Amino acid sequence: MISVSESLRLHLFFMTVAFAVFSISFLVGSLYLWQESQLKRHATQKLLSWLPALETMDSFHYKILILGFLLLSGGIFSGALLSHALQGRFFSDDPRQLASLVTWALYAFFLNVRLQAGWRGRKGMILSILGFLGVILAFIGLGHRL
Amino acid sequence: MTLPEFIIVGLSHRTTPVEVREKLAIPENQIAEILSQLVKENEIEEALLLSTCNRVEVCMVSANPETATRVIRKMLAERSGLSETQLNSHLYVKKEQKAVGHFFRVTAGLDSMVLGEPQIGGQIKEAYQRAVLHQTTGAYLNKLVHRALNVNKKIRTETDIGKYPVSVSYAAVLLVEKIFGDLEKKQVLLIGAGEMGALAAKHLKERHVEKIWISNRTGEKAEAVADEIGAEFLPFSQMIDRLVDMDIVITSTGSETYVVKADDVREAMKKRKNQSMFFIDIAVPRNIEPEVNQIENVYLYDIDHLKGLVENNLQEREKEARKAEDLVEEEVQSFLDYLSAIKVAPTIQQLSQKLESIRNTEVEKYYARGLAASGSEKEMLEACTRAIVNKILHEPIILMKTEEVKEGGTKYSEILKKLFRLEGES
Repeated sequence: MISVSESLRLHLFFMTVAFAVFSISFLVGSLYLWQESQLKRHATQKLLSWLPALETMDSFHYKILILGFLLLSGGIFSGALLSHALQGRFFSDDPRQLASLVTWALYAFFLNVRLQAGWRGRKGMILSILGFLGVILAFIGLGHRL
Repeated sequence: MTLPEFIIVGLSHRTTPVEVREKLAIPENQIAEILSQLVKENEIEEALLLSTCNRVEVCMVSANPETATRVIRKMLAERSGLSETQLNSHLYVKKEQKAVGHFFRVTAGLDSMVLGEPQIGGQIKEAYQRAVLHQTTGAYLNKLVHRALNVNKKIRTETDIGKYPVSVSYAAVLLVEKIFGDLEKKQVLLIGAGEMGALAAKHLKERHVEKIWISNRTGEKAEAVADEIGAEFLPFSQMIDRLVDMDIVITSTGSETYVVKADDVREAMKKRKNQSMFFIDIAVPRNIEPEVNQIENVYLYDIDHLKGLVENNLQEREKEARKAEDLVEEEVQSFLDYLSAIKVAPTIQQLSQKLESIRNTEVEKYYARGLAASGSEKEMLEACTRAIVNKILHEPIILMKTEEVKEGGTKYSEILKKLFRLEGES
């Protein structure tokens, strides 16, 4: 088993970068939803020329979510190691750990349905924004119970 | 001697209906001959001929504007078969400042039927190149055309006049780009062989879409359009089944009922895993069931949506055009100042040379008599006489550069030339 300080460092690294990446995906997702609704409502005079096309944002969002998902997986794994080193068990009833797992499951669901059922566009973006709420809860909102 | 002036004689969509314009339009292959004739026989020093579907204009440089104008009137009357009185109600004649301003505005598309359209700049360039080729341009027209093209460039960078699309088909294409971005892997289906639909498809082709299909109830017309835009014919009976492969669908048929129904699109979307589709319905009555717009990742724009967009854009263009007009006004003034400065320059130079030669002769006489022997005495004498000459020259030069440039005439140059007998000395 790796030491406490090593697993802590690893855990912090993964989670911090994951948080940054998810923040970007949240931002892109929100812009997508805004532009999508303007296009749907034919509100063309509100469109911003500097915003990329819907499809461009969608594919960027998808790629960055895959990256975020991998980082989150790494974070959860190293967190479990840390928990084991501290408490002797991989998973506890720590609310942060739970929120992380729920978020992980949400993103896993998103990536899966996008591929399988074609949940691209608006629906997928809403799902990803829900996922980000989970991220906020897991990273900032809830305190660790140690 | 009077200095040459800019004159423009012409007619445009603003003054002349198309029935008359088409009689006056000058085919490209005749322009050269007309230009050479104008410059050879008459008091026209330089000439440029612009003939587009919206205007016929002759831009000239002549020291005798009245004769030059008469010549053009006669030439246009002869060509069109109209009497000169009939023609006069359509023609406009612009001189000097007004001619320069008009030329700048035309070049920038500010006088165009579609405000701010960019093609006219290219047409001016071509007209100029033709005139250069046949040696009917000279110093004045060269400067005018170059300045006009620069002003056009300046207007396009400093205002947003070209930013907003004002044709329905082009506006549709920009919306397509707002949804798909890169169009290289997109397939387009054109239903109906209408002109506006074909135009939109052409714009899409320029943006390198992967493939364009065309479908129509009657094959003949569709095949003609297919040839024109490089599209493949798709039998009408297979059209709905193939919707699944299409990213962009443009309809412009004369059908009284919906050609594409919401259920057809739902079915297609399921098969294509919800990849976005964009429908452009240019037909009246509409060809696509409006409910299509409710389907996830599907966008439907009909003719009213697009017209609304175009009208908005036109208003934006008008705002930008006002800025452009201000710019033109500034540029006309600065161009005229520049021209006048060029016009007075030779007189100033002649005057300076004359006074310098007088000074030189007198000083030499003085030396010849051995009155200034030492180097320092000579230096003092030179400095003193130069200062006197410069002082005398100072006022007239300032006057020429300000008053004459402002008034635009040749009054002061003429007087100076007479007083000092400057003619033919340089």
